Amino acid sequence: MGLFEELKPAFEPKSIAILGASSEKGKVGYRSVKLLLDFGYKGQIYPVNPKPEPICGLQTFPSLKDIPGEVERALIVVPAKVVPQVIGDCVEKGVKIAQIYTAGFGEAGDSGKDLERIILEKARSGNLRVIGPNCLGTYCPKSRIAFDMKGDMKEGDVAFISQSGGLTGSTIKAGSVRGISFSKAISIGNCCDLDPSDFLEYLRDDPDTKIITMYLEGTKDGRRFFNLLKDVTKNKPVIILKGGRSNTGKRAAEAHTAALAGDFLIWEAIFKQTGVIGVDSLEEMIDMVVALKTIPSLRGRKLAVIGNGGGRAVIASDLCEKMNLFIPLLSEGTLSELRRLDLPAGTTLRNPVDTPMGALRREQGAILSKILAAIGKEPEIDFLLVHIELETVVQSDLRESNKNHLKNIINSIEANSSSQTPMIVVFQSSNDPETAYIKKDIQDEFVLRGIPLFWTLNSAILAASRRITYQEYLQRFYGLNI
Amino acid sequence: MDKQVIEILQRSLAERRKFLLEPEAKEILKVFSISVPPSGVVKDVKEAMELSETIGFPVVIKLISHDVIHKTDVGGVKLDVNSVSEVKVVCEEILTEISSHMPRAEVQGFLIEKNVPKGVEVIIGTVNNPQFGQIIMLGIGGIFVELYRDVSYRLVPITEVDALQMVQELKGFPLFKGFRNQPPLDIEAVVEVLLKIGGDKGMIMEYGKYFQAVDLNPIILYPKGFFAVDARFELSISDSKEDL
Repeated sequence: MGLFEELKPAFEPKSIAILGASSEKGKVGYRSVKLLLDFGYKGQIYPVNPKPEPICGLQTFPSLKDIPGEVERALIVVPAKVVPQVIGDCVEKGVKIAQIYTAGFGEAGDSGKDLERIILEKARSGNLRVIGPNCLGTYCPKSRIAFDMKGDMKEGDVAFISQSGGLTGSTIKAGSVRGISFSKAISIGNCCDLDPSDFLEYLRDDPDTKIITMYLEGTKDGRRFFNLLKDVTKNKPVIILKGGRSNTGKRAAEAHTAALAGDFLIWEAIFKQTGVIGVDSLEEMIDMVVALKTIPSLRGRKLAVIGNGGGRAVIASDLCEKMNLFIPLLSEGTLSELRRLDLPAGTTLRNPVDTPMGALRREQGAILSKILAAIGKEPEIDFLLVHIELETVVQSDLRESNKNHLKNIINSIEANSSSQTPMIVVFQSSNDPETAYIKKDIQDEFVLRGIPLFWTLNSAILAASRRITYQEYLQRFYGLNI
Repeated sequence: MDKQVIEILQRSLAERRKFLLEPEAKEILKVFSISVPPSGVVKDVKEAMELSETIGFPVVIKLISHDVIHKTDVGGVKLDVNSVSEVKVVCEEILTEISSHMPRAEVQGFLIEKNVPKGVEVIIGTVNNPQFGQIIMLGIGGIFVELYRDVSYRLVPITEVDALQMVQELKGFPLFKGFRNQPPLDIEAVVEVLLKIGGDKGMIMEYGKYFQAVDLNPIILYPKGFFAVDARFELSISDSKEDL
């Protein structure tokens, strides 16, 4: 049996037993049962507890062997010292996947490591595979399995493997705000058995997953992981946030998961050799997913920067140069076309093209459409980076009633968004709480239209550059254009 | 596997050595056609004088001893030796110094090597990492390489693209392109050595399991060509003896 079949019950189990289920509200053993019911899990749910009273209206079983039917997956929330015995029960029952939620193992010290060894031995004596210990387990909206009450349950095609349980929920939430939904997420814990490579291999073969993201502190069989990465990135982009780079970070990671944090220089080499997109924060990870899902294949590294906010454009230019993106001067033909628009003083037409609010006020903002169309025809330019100072535009609208610059600017962007030169849009905001609802509307609108939208120039530039680097990797190694 | 390499490995393992002797290391480099300065091994001072003349002055004289890993630290390396009489003096000096530093060290002889012209020093090394296996490194900066940490890494095996990127990633890359009126350096040669060591048909893929760490340090690089002037091979003792 291949790993894909073997791990299927981790995400799509026909039945789940909760070992350590509880009728006491507030206990994990209660919450785990309630979550499955609340989210509408369709398979069999078997609460296991020596006390006979029902839990959330479900019949309770004194032990695993008392359950009449097959149990594909076990969720273990009993105290650490009882876990080895419970794992033995799982093997006897023929459980396929056991997820150990309980903490207090390898991350807690040597006696915990011994417990992990015993667990692994017992699991190997049967055909049981173990997730964890010390983890939240799996999230799979398709089969209605969630981590917690806040979980967004929309089905998507992004997967997340995380060595931190807490980050899993936050990442799903952060993604949903940006229109990203997940196919699977896994909090892998201490990895006494199943490790990042196993889940990576599973996701490689998972037809519901198109992009793989990871938060990783370390991995045990580095060579297998390396070879898998090389194989996976051919077809699915892999984004990795590597934690535990600094000495302090390393110390925290050791206490955290008992994994070996490798030297970051080696990790950087691995990223380059395997086409992995390395990122430095969760925010960048989400930005990168947005980039992969919305920015089409880019012809090259030359861009035009267009928008209001001269200082912003200067800062953006500096970062572009650092990231090997080029901002060439516009051709005479394009310049004369722009000059015919007769934009007010203060407009700069070279590149970056600085169009202050005075210019954007022309035709109540609709002038932007003509500017974008002119520059979009420039053969020297591979993509457009359009940046708008949100608050400046909103204030203009507030000052002059019955004017709607923002609407016209957005319309201009949309009108040009399917032109042959791809466009990346940034609404730069000073996070004024008064404009929060406008930001949400813009976000929803752009997600709907599939237009690449970022909230800082910085994040847009990083994501675009990394998008191209991945493209270049595929071209260099496989001659692929993605 | 090459007969000569096997012999060297068998001999050093039989003698329970952790390191190859420099002449052995250079023999292995020659098997992989990595250029080393013209050289020869002699047993005593008299032979040293004869061979130096054949090789041609100036020469470098290096101590050969199973017991000495860091030759420079015990005065075991003498550069720029210019005449037969100087060879005699220098060899005797080395012997005196070693007997005062390490009286119990056994001396096998001397390595006489052609003194090569100055150039830019690069280092190419490999190490067997417990987590990822064999890793190859390229560095620049000569004796300051550890200070500046101007290095690039890849997992073995590497492709030609990887090798070229390793060179381009160095902060000192402008040096290779010809910095401030200096002639450009032989980038192709560096790529070639990287592949001979770490490529899919390279030394590490064939013999990596016997080597814990390899250091070609320094490699003297010129506008055309190079010499691997010193090489250090640390053997991995466990699992080495099988199938030799």
